Amino acid sequence: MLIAVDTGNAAIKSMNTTFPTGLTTSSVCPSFADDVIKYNNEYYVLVDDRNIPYKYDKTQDDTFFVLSLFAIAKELRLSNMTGHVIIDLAVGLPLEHYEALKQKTLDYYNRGHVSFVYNNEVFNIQINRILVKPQALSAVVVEAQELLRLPTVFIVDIGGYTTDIALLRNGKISMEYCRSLDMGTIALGNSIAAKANSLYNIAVRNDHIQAVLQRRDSLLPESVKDIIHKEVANYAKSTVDKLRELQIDLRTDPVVFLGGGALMLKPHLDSDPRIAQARFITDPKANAIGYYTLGARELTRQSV
Amino acid sequence: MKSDDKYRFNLQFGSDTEQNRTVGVFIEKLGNKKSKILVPIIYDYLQQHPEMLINASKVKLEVVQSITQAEIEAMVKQSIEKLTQSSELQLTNATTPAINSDDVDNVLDNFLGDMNSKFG
Repeated sequence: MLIAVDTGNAAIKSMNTTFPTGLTTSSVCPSFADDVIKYNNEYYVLVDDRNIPYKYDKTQDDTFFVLSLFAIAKELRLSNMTGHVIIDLAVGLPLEHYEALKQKTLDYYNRGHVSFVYNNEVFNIQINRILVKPQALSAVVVEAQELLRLPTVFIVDIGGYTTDIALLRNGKISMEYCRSLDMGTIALGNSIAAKANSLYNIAVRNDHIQAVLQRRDSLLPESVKDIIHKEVANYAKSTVDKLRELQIDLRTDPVVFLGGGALMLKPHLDSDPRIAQARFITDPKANAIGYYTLGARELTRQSV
Repeated sequence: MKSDDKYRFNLQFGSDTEQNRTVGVFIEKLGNKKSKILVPIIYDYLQQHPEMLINASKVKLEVVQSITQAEIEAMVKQSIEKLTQSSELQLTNATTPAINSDDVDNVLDNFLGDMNSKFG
């Protein structure tokens, strides 16, 4: 069974699941927790708020391996697969970090037989083949039929801590535009929280921000809502500014925005006169779907 | 997504329930005639559930597991029989160019090859 996991800084995504990149550890079994894994005599609990500091290299400790185990367990449960299961794993890396981190990532997941307990259910998995795919480009698969036929299209994947940029010409990857910038929605959230705290002594969380942006009910005062809208507008503008600095002129080429940040910034990107034609891939699982689709094709090729 | 006066969608769902598997196998069997079959089926459903048209984004869909495979197959069979009896469908099938799934395969294979050569 092939399982694809997108280990984002803001959220972990698989084909069918998504959850925040938030984890706590404990040496004793927590009493009140919905998502618990016991691995190597340690208990890990998923939490609702992202709490993992940004790591350029996510293979430095077991954090992202355990987060991947959560995604794997959830996928196996959805498929009613229990007991001993052999899996192939497809994961991804930012474009510009790919070369430097690919082998490390392969080694990180190459653990052979792994036993763990997820919510009182024992899982014995054998990690067989591991595939590492470039993020952003993999997500194109979601709309491959259209995007891979365009003469040119920029791909901009706005994640939690990184924004990946790529250019496709007639479905071929133009390496000169492949970039991974250290900018994303986590910095935006932190900036909003800092301003709300310093000006009004109000603690603003990510779910508050999402509620305001989605025009849902919110108890936040109008002054804080204004901060959120202004900061998001500024962030959208600075994203386009940054692209322009990189000689990417979106008045002359179409662009596809994706990733969690794309949805947040959509109204402002849509109305930016410096963007002639924008599309949005709104499924936050797009990269995971891409890893799976491309991984499945690759494994099929290998077995022929 | 609507573009160039055409609607184009990517549809994805898990194969974790009998309902999903039955529908998945059925859609797969439709080959190049997916839209010709699915559009009238969904249209028929909307005629019976006009509340869905009022604000589709707020409609809460609940998966009802109690429906049996036999019931789904009977519904699908009924819909296909109804559609194949429709002269309009037969006419449009003859005149509308079909989407070639081989093309999609080729596009994806070429993309994967290019990706692997540059991110190998």
